[in-house]
Amino acid sequence: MEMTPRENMMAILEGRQPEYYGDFQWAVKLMMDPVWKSDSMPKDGLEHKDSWGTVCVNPVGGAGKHPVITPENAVVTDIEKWREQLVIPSLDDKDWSDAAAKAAAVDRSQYFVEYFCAQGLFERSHFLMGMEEAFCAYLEEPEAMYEMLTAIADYKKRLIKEAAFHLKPDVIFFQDDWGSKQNLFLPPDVWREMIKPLQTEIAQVIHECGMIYVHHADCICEPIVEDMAEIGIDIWQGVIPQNDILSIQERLGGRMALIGGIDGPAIDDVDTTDAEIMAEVHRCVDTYCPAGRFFPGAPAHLLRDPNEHLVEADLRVYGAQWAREHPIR
Amino acid sequence: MTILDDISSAVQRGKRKEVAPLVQQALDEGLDPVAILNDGLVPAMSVIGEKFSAGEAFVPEMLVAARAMAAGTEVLKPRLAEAGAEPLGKAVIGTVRGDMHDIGKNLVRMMIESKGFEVTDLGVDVAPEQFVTFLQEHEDTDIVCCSALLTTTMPEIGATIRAIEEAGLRDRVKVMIGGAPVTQAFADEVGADAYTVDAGAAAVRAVELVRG
Repeated sequence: MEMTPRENMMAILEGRQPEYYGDFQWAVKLMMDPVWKSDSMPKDGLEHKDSWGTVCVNPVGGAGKHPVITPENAVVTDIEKWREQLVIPSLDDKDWSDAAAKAAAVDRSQYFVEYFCAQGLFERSHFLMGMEEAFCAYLEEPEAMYEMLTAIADYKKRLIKEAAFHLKPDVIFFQDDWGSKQNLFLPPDVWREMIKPLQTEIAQVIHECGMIYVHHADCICEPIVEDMAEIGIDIWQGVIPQNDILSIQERLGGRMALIGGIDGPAIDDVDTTDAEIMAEVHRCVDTYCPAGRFFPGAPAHLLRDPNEHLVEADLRVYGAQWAREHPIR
Repeated sequence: MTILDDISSAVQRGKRKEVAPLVQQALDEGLDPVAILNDGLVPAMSVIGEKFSAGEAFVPEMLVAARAMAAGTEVLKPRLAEAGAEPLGKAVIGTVRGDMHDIGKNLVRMMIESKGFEVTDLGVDVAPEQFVTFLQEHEDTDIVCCSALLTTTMPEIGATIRAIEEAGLRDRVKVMIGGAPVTQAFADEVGADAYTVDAGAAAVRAVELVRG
């Protein structure tokens, strides 16, 4: 009997034999909840404010919304005055009925219901202040910054409980990009001091609500992977190959599952050939699947549709072939 | 420890409140303002830039160091002007059309400034014609720096270089490019003069370009 997409991904997550290796996200139905909707904005190239007051622009034909923060429009201009300058959004007026109906309609024997929780603590801190000001505040005013992060974390915990009540998600996709393609943004010790304790509290709430914790960070996280496992992240989604993935797998010893491995930007040119795309997919599967608990996939969507489609199509075929040829004993 | 060592140490630790008084003290002690710049402030940022390239320093540490250096430079400015000191070179920088990312571009700006360049920042989402207009209005510009963070906006780097060529300005300036998806092969393809992987390396390369 064939496995359902959900059963197949659970097999990989639990280190059992799957029918195919592939992206965990293939087995989820993503719920667009009222908070996510209120923070979405049209692709019109114009400035809009999200629920926290952060000015964003979603460029016409662009990849998605992007904060455009200036000294004039920043929500928090002085971290020591964050209590006066920041109004935490209310959760009381949200209508969850549409998302709840969609969640109830999902056949959970086939798919996971996934709740998308965008802009984690770190991202929200620089969305409120602008990257430069926020980064400096982490080093220069750590106590005030930690107080503001605690307020953001408290909001997140309330929001996750609300989502759990209304949607009963199986999985949370918690987004917080902690680094770039070159390194972590914060020095690891600063991340451990400022982010890790609060993220641990968030992870506890996620698990109390019965969700699998998928953390999205399509960046370098290599210096903190043991900490991520310790926090309670079940799956790190967005493992770019600029991380030494083989070394990470050895260090983790299976304590945290991984999604990613494909070098998306390297195969996302108009001139990229089908053969080059398929070679990268095969490299990813061949190199990282042997360690187990690995979901091959692009850490972030490719921006060119034909390339994105070929990655998925080829991964579906090669991931199944690889599973047949490499049974878990 | 000399006072120049103290200045360098304070910059490297990002202590902007310490740097300005130390620079003032050095001036009061009769040190040459150019020496304070070149033997105190600039080497400190070079150390940070090298550590950043080696993965030993992180973005916030570069930012606070750059701000500390700027605090010192502000004290020096009037004395440097009196001494007739010229910038090492002039550069213009921007993220290309359609791309809103700015942190990497800002780091490059700060690091190039820290080498003694005068840098004009055109911001993000900068159209090729904006670069061209700037170059037409500022004939003494030595370097154009442009970056893209997305595979879909990367071609705008090539469009910018072509626009500079078509305006007849290409021989007058060097073009440096960067950004997460950018590679040396791409730089060769679009005819850039230099590509570097990070802000620290960009500053070093900018100096090489103007010194020939």
